[in-house]
Amino acid sequence: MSFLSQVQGRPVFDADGVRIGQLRDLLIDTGTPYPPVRSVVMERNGRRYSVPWHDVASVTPRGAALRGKFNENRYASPSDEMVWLARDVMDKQIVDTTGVKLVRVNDIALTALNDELRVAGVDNSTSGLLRRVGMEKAAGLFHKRPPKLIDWEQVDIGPAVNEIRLKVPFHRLQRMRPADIATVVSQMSPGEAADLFEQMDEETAARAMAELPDEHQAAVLAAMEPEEAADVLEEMEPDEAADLLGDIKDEQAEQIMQLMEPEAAEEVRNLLAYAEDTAGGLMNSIPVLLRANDRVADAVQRVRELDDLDHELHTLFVVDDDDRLVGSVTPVHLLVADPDARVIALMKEDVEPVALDTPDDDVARALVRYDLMAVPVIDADRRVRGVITVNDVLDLMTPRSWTSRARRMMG
Amino acid sequence: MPQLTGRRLPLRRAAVRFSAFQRLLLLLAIFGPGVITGIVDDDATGIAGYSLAGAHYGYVLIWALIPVCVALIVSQEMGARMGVVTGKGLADLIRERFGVRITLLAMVTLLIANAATTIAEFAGVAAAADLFGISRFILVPVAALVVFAVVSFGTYRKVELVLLAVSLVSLSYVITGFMSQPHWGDVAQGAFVPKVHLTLPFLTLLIGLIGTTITPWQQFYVQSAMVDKGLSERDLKRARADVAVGSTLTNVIAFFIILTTAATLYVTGKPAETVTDIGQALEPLAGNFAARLFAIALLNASLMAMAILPLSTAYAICEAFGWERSVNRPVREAPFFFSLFGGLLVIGGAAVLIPGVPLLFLLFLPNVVGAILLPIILVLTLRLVNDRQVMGRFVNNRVQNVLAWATAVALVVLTVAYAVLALVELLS
Repeated sequence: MSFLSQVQGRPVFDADGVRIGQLRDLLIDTGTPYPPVRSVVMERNGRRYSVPWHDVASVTPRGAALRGKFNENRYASPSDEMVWLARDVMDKQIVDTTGVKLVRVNDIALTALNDELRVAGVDNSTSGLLRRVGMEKAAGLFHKRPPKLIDWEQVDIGPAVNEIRLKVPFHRLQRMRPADIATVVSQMSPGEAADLFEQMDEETAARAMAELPDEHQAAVLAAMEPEEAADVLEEMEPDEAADLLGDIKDEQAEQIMQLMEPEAAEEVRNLLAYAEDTAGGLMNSIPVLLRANDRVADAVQRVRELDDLDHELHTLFVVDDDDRLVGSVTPVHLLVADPDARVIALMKEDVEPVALDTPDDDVARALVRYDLMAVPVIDADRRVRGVITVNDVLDLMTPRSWTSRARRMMG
Repeated sequence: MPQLTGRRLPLRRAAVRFSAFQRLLLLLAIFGPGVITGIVDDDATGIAGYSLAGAHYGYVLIWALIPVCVALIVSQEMGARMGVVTGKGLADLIRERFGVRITLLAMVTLLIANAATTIAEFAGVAAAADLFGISRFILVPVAALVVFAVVSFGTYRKVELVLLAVSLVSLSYVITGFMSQPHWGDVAQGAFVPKVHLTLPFLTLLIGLIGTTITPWQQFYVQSAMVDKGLSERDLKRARADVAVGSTLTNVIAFFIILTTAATLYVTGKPAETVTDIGQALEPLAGNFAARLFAIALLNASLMAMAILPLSTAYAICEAFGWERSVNRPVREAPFFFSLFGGLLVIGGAAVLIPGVPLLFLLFLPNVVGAILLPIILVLTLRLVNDRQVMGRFVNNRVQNVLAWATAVALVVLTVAYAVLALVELLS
C-alpha cells in the first residue's frame, strides 16, 4: 500500500528509464467500488498530459514508469470528466458515513491489485499530516501501528467543491438517517450545508433540516437558493417551517413563501401570525375534522380520502354543525364501531382544548397531565384552528441540551 | 396564485414582549459581522497603540489613519467577499488550495500573532484591575473563567450584545476630543501633510498603528463570520457596506483617541510611560473619574477580544488540520481544540501575573508582531481571492489588487526599514 502524497511530485520515466516528467495527479472513475486509477496526470515542460493506465507500468514512491516511449502527440490534456484525486479530494473535507462526521483528507491510500492501482481509503490521521510535511519518521515515533484508514466505501464526497459532486453520485450520505445527516451537516458551514441540501431529494433534506439546531437551521435556509428553500419547507411540518421563516430576514422569508405552493404558503403565513412560544405558533393544521352527526362509515371514508397520510392522526376531533369543538374519537374506535352509528355516539366529550395564546409550557403540561397524544387548539368561538401533538412539544419537555452552537458563536 | 401581497402579516414574532433595553440590544444585533469586527478592532491593543501615537507625536501621525482606513476596508472586503462567495473560512481555503505545508506556515503565523494579542488583552484586564484598585490576582483569573464559561455555555451571543453596548464608552473619547480644545489647524496639518521621522520610536508607533488596525485575526474572523451567517452572493452588497462602515468606525474612534491624547497628554510634554498615564487623557471629561472611565473602556475592549481570539484561533487551526472542534465535545474527543483554547487563556492570564511585567509593553507588542506577520496572510489572501477556481467572477479587480499589494509591500518595507534602523542603533 502506498499513499498519494508519496507518489505525487515523483518523476515519471519511460521504458528506457529516461526521466520524462513529473507525476501531478491521478484520475479515478468513481463509478466502481474502490475506484481504479484510470489515468496519470504528468507534467512535462509546463504542460499536462493524461497518460491512460494501460500505458503505465507502475506507480511507486520511487516514481512512475511508462510501458513505452513518451510521445506528446499521443496524450491529451487531462479531462475534467473524471475526479482528480489530488486536486479534488486531497485536503478537502469529506463525510465519514460510519463515524458520522466530517473529516479532513490528509492523505489517500492506494493499493496495487491485479495490475490496477485502486483507492483503498482516506487517511485523516495526524501521522498523515506529518507525512505531508516530510516528517514520516516522526510519525512512526508516535504511532507504532500504521494509521487507521477510513474505508473508501464508507466516505461520501459531501461538501467538497460543487463541480465534483455533480460527477460523483452521493448515495451514501442520502441513505443515512436524517438525524445522522443533521449531525454531519451541523459540522459544515451554512453555505456547504445549503449546497448539500439543494442536491438531496426534498423529503430527506426536510427531515434532516428539522433535526438541525435552530440557529444553524436559519443560517442554512438563508444560504439556500429561494426555490430550493421553498421546496424543502413544503416538505416540513408547517409549524417548523413557520419557526424557520420567522428566524430569517423578512424579505427573504417573503420571497421564499411566494415560491411555495400557495396552500402550504398560506398555512405557514397563518402560523406566523402567532408568537412562536404559544399554542398558535406550535400548532399544525388539522387534515380532517369529523361532524358529530356523520355516520361512522362516512367518517371513515373522510379519513380514507386524505391524500397525505404522514399526519399524526392519533386523535380525530369532532365538531358540531357550527364548526365548534364538541369531542374527540380515536381512529381505532371508528374502525370497530358499527358503520351506521353516529360519530356523536362514540366520541369522548371531555376534550381539553387550549387557546391560541396559551403559552407553550402550559400546552406541554396539559399533554403530560392528561396523558394525551394531541390537543386541539381553539379560538374564542371554540372553532378548531389546529392541533398540537406530543412531538411538537417534545423538545420543551426534555432538558435543553447543549446544542452544537459552538461553531455558530464564531459568526 | 392567491393575492399574497394584499395583507401583510407580521413575520417577526412577538416583538411586543421586548423591553426597551432588549430593543436597544436588538438594534445592536442588526449590526453585521463587519461592524462588530470594526468595534472589536478598537481593543486594548488599539487603545494603547493610538494613545501612545497621540501622546508621543501629537497630531503628526493622524495622516496615517487615512491610508490605513483604505487598506483596512480593502482587506476586510476581500475576506468578507471570500466568505460570502465560497461559504468557507480562510483557514479552510488555505488548506484546500495550498496543502499542508503552507497551511502550517499560515497557522503558526496566526498562532503567534493571536497569542501575543491574547496576552495583550489580559494585560488590559490587569491594567483595569490596577486602575480600579482591585488585585490583578483576582480580576485576571475571574475574567478568564468568565470568558471560558460564556463561551462554553453558548451564551456568548447575548453577552456580546452587552459588550457592544458597553463599548459605547469609547464615545467618551469623541466627547473629550472636542472638550480638550485641540488646535484644529494642527489637526488638519497632521491629517493631510504626511510626515515620517526616520527614528526608531516613530517607526515603532507607525508600524504599531498599522498593526493594531489591520490584524491577521480580523481577516480570519470577518470571513468566518460571513460564512456562519449563511450569506451568499445575493448579500454581497450588504456585506461590503457592512465592512466599509465597520472599518471606518474603527478609524474614526482611532482618530478621536489620537486627537484626545494629543490634546491632553502630548501638550503637557510629559512622556506617557504607563497605562495610568494614558488614562489621564479622559480627565477633561471625567475629572477624577477619568481613571475609572478609562478602566471600564479598557476592560470592556479586552473582554470582547478575549471572547473571540482564543476560540477563533483554536477553530481556525483545528479546521485547517481537520481536528475535532467544538466546545460541546468532551475534552478527550477534541484534545487539540481544548489545548489551544485553554492554553491561550492560561498563557495569557499567567503572563500578566508575572510580578513587575510591563503592561504597556505587552499591550503594544502585538501591534508590531501583527504588522510583521500580516503580509504572509495578505499574500495568501491575494492568491486565493484572485483564483478563478475559488472565486469565479468575484476575483479582485485591478484597484483592489493594487491597494492590497501596496499594503503588503508597505508593511514589508516598513519592517525592513525598522530592522535596519534597529540594527544601526544597536551597532552604534
